[in-house]
Amino acid sequence: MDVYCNETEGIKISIGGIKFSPELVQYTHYCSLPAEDLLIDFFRCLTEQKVNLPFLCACSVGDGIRNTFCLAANDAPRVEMLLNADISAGGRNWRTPEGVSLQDQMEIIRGVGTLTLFPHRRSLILLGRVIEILGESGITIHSLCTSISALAINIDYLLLDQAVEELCKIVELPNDHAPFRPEFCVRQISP
Amino acid sequence: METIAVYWESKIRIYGLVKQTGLSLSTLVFPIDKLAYWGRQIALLGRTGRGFEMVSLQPLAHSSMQFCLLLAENDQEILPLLEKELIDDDTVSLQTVTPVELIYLHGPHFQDRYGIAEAALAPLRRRNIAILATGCSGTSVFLVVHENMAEMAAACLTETFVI
Repeated sequence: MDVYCNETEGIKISIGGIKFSPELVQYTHYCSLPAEDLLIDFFRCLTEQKVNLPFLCACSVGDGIRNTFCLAANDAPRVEMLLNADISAGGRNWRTPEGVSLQDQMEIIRGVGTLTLFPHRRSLILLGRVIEILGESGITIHSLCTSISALAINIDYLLLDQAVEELCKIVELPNDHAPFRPEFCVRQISP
Repeated sequence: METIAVYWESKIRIYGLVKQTGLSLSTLVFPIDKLAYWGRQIALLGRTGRGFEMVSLQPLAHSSMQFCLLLAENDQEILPLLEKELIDDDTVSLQTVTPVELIYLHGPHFQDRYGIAEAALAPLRRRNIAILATGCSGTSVFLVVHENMAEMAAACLTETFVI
C-alpha cells in the first residue's frame, strides 16, 4: 500500500518499455444489435481483403454497442473504397435494413498512432496517471485498451514523441530501452 | 530487406483460453475536457491496492468519453469509491453490470494478423451470445459476456481457435 501511495505522489513508476505503431486510421461506430451483424460482415470482408485490425475495443451502450477499431493508414483507402463500392457494379451494400450506410455512421480519425506501454501490472495508478498527464498536456487520447500486459493508447501520430516526453515525467524506462519506432514490420500473407 | 517465413495452421492457434466469473463491468461516461481529472481519480482508486482486469476508453457522441472498467470480485470494493465521485456531478454517469464473465484468449502475435477480430466475434454472434465488451490489442482478445455464458462462448470459439 505504501508503494502505491508513494507512486501517486510523485515517484516515477518503472515500466519495461514503450513502443509506437505505424500510422493508423481510427473508426468509431455505434450500432444496435441487428446492425452488429453488418459490422461483423464488414470485419469478414476485411479478413478476405487481408486487412489487419491491430486495435479493437467495444462496450455496450444502452441497446447497442460502441466499437472503435484501427487499421493501417496504407489500408484505409482500399477499405473506404470497399465501403463506397458501387452496388450496381457488384459492390456489397453496406447499409442497414433501414438504409443507413455503415460509413455514414462511422467517425473517422486519420493520422493516429498507438503508443504501447508495458507491463501495466493491472495498475490503476499507472493507468490513471498516464491518462492524467496526457490530458493535462493537451494530448487527446482517441481511444485506449489493455491487453494482458500492455496498455495501448491511440493518440495523434505526430504527437507520439511529445507524448513520450510527457510520460517520462511519471514513468522510468530501462537504460537499454529499444527504439520506440518499429525496426521491422510483420505482414501476414497467404500461403 | 524482406524475410519470408512460412507457417501454416488450419485453425488459429492460441496459447490459452481463460474463463473468469464473478466480475463487474462498469461504464463511466464523462466529458472529454475532464480527461485529466478522471485520470487523477482513477489513480487515486489505485491507492487501495486494487487492480483492473481490462480497461477501455473510446469516444462517444457529444464530446464525451466512455471508460469501461472490468473488475474481478476481489477488486470491486473500489466501486463505492467511484460512485462517491459522481455525487453532485450531472455531467457524468456510471452504470455497472454484475456479475459478468470474461473469456480471454492469448495468441501468437494477434496484432500482426488479419482475421482475428472476426474469428472471435462471428461465432458468438451466430449463437446470439451478446458481447458486452471487447478488447483486442497486442496478443490478447478479451470478450465480456453475461453471467453463465462464458462456457457456451468458449465452446463456440473452438470453431475458429485451437489451443
